[in-house]
Amino acid sequence: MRFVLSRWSHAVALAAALLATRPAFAQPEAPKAPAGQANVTLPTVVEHVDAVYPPDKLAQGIDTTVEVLVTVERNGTVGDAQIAVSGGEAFDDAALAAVRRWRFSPATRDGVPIRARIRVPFHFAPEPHPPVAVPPGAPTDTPPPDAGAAPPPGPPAPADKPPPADKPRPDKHTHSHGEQPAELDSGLALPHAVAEPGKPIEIHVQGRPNPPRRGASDFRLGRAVLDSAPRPTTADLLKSAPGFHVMRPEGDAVAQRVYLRGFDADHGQDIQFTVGGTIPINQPSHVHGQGYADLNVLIPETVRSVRVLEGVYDPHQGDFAVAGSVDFDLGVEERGVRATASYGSFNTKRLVAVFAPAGQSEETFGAAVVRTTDGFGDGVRGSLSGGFTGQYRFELPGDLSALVHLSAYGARSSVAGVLRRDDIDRRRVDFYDAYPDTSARSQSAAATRTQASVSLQRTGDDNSEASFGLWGAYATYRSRLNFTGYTQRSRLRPTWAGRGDLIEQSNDDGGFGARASYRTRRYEAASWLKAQLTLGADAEAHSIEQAQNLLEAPQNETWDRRVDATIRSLRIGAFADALFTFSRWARLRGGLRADLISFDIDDRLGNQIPAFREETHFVGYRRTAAGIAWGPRATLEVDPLPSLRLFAAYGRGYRSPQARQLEEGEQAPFATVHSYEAGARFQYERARLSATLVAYETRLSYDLAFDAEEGRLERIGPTTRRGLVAYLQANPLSGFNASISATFVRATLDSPPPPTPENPSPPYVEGQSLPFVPPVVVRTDVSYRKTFGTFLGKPLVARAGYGATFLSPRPLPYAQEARPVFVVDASLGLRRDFVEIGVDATNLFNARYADTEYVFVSDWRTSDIPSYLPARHISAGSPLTILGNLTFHL
Amino acid sequence: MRCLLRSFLPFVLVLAGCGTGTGQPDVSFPALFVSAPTNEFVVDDVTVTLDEARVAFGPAYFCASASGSATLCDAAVGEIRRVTTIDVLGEGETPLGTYAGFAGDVRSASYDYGIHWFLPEQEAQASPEAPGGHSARVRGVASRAGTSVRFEADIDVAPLFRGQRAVPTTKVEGTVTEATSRIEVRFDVASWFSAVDFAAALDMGADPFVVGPGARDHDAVVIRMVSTHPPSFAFVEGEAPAAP
Repeated sequence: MRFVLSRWSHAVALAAALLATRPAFAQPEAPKAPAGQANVTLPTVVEHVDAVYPPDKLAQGIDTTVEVLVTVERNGTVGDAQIAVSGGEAFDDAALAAVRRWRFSPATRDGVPIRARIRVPFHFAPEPHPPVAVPPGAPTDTPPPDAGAAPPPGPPAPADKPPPADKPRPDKHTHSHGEQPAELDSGLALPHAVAEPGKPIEIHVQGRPNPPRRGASDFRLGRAVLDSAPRPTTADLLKSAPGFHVMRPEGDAVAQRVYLRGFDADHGQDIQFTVGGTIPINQPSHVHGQGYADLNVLIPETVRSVRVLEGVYDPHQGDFAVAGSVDFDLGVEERGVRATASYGSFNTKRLVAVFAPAGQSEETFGAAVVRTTDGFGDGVRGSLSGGFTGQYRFELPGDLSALVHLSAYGARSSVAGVLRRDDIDRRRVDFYDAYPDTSARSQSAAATRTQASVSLQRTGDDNSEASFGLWGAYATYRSRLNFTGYTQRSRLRPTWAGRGDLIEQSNDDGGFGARASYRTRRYEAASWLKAQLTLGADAEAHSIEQAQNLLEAPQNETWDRRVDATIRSLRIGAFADALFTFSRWARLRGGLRADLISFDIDDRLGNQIPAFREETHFVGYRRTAAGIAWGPRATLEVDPLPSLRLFAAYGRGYRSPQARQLEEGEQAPFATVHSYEAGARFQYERARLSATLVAYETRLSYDLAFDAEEGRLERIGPTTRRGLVAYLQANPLSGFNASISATFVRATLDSPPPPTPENPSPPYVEGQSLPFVPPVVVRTDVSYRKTFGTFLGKPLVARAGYGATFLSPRPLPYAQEARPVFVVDASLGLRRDFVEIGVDATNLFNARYADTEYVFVSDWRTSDIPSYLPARHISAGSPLTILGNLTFHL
Repeated sequence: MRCLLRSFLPFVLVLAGCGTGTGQPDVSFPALFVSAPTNEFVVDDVTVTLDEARVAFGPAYFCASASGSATLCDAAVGEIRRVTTIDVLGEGETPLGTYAGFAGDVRSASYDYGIHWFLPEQEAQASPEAPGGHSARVRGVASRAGTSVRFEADIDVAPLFRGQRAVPTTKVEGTVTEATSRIEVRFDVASWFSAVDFAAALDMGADPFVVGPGARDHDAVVIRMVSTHPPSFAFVEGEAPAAP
């Protein structure tokens, strides 16, 4: 076995020296282009994947080299890969498969990422290879012993050494800008940029650029981290971001509930969610919660990376960016067809198929998923869902790059609802069950969403960039949820009471919008000062039909009507974003954003006439409102050391109001947030370790909290959060990735609403800890992937990983406290050739925990005499769930 | 790095420990009926001697609002979730159960006299503790100038609407703190039955004189129990004062 391992483990390309290169962090030491292009740096490898020596060629002992021309996009991904020098079909395929999964720090000109084409040689040797020779100026780290690739033998090619006769000679001609592409100072052992005849090293950008960091709390999660633990849904991907916690207390068809850095973002009210920087997922004025964002529309296997910006420091951040923003970058690294069938606990079945045509950009793919489950508990959590996502990136005349996106998703689920803690403690109902009551067992939810977008980008040769995007989405939602049992009385017919508080909510939202931005070239105001300006605008319009009723189960007869409204909204945002570079060690980014929002509300149940009063008018209240919010933002970066970057950032963000809460002519009182942070990022490249430490404060003008009686969010006044975030990420070994984050926050309620006749004893008092928000969130993700042998002539690749989350006790209203939560999810897999088997376990230690806890009045008829004291209620978190997976990679 | 962590740790500990509470703390203490026994009282020139006087009380809910009505007080700040039969003729205190709730001001109470109409019940029902299925059962003799009649009163105080208490709201002035040791409930059966026209009964010579639902005297008693002479509630801190 050892002989076999040594044979092919050294038969893959180049990883050793490449892995030692410096990842993208200010790129102070990236390889330089030769004189004549002094401001150009070459791409460097950040993540590599070993090529596999074709096992069926081992017996022949072929020693060959394949050279691949790789286009490295500005976001560091591989946009195109073509064989320049063939080593035979099997070796060509192996090299292409590997290099398409690489990640680079992009080439830069004057510090600005540019698209570049480089040549990557893969040397396949059947025997162990001599040590890597590293050219002067290149990083000198020793390659990992298991790196499957090695460069060709012999000394590195000198910079002025002519290429081999069978390789194209570098073109020395002057290209369109009068700059002379030159042969680059790199040897064969490293990827080196070669000016192909007629192909200068710098060509037009393709794909969405990787935006610059906007503070220490600007986190990017790649697949290496996202693959560490099972991710049943896209929302679960967010668990790896510092300070995030995600749960799903209302079943599979209702959006996840999210906590971030002391914010109870509920279903998305405080976090701006976008797809590809173009499609907003948050739905304004949703009846179930402002900013409702159901991430189920995305298939987790198609998320290539996630950008989580915690805080509001980027002028691109718009409505709902209060705690921060999340952008999902969709792409599929592994090309080909992949189909995974899963089966496991609670009769859960999931089938996902991903088609990623070879030779296309990672952003071109199609994926579909269906899932059914009976759910845990006594049969009230069953769900059925399915989705599709397709994307196609292609080139258009005029150096335009286009991306078309289409997604559709639908789900229906039964909902178990909440249970009173005292009923569980007295064994009136089991922790994982639901009340036997008819109304409790009639809870359900169904949702659909269809969205499409087209985006265009064009990057000029002077590094200017123009982009434009159009999107449209249609989302439906209907839920029937009973949080309080039997406490409600009809407002239209007050003698109707006690027929079950089954709240039906429906929301149909048709929205469309556009965004456009233009970034100028970089101006050099002085030798020490460069400046660049981006101007942008976006707009979105929504037409929303929403209703809320009380139903009597099981016939779902309507016995009260609470909401019946049509809302039309228009939001127009514009921003200016500048970059000032003060020498190499300091940068100032920032600008101003303004959003105008306008509402037209037809509240058909407004101006309701109480039952005891004589009718004096027709019921209904139509009104309009509009407002403008301003948001200055700025981030200062200073690099006192090559491995240390310091950040200071400030920003003002806002959240649009729930339309139905507005009065006629009201100047749309946005919730505004002031975010401050100071932090540092330290990068220890020898161990490939990065550490981030952030201290932050956010002040929100008014917060929202869940009101169980109405099943929606209500205002609770201004709040303040102060906290610390520590984040450590390391991948010291090839295939090994670890990250740990800890977030500490003190969130307080500054000025809660005063008591009113309707609510004389509000659950909130001044200065109290913000309820439902965990003060401490700790998360760790660890994964390891390794090729450890062969079986029947094919390599075996094993992977293992886990993700663990700890939540400290959460404060609850009325001086109560939820119990701490510690949950571990783990994943194992083994792949041979095109077949992979795996097992995913969520809640590995079968911890019994509450997904969410609430405090409110309920009456589920579990005692002879009802209690009208606010009581603790929980929705159970999932017990141990095991899914077996079988995947075919075709 | 180690130095960084060392300096970081104390701050974290301080931060984690400086969280404040979330609203009013919860409290619980005994509820007691403490009125002096009423065996005999005089209405005009009629002397009423009680042989039996039992009243069902509870449950009771306490609100921070001035009105304890179910439509204006969705959430209680305190409650006594028990129905107790009080023997008004008995000596000493009668335990009514436990008051459970939160610290804070209490401005109103709503309660039943043993007959409730909880949601989603279709009609009002008497609890098992209700004497004879009624809110109050009082037996005795009314005497005037050597003439006497026996009387039997069965009083029903039922909620008017589903989901409401029989007494929708009664004013309470009190503050519950963590030092509150008990709540004392007082009512005076004599004042309730002073509304009965015993003189007319004596004039008619009805024996026994029955006061039941539908009778004018019955309604007069109910009005006193609900509106004009409702129970009083007092929150007592520390050791309870000695009974007079």
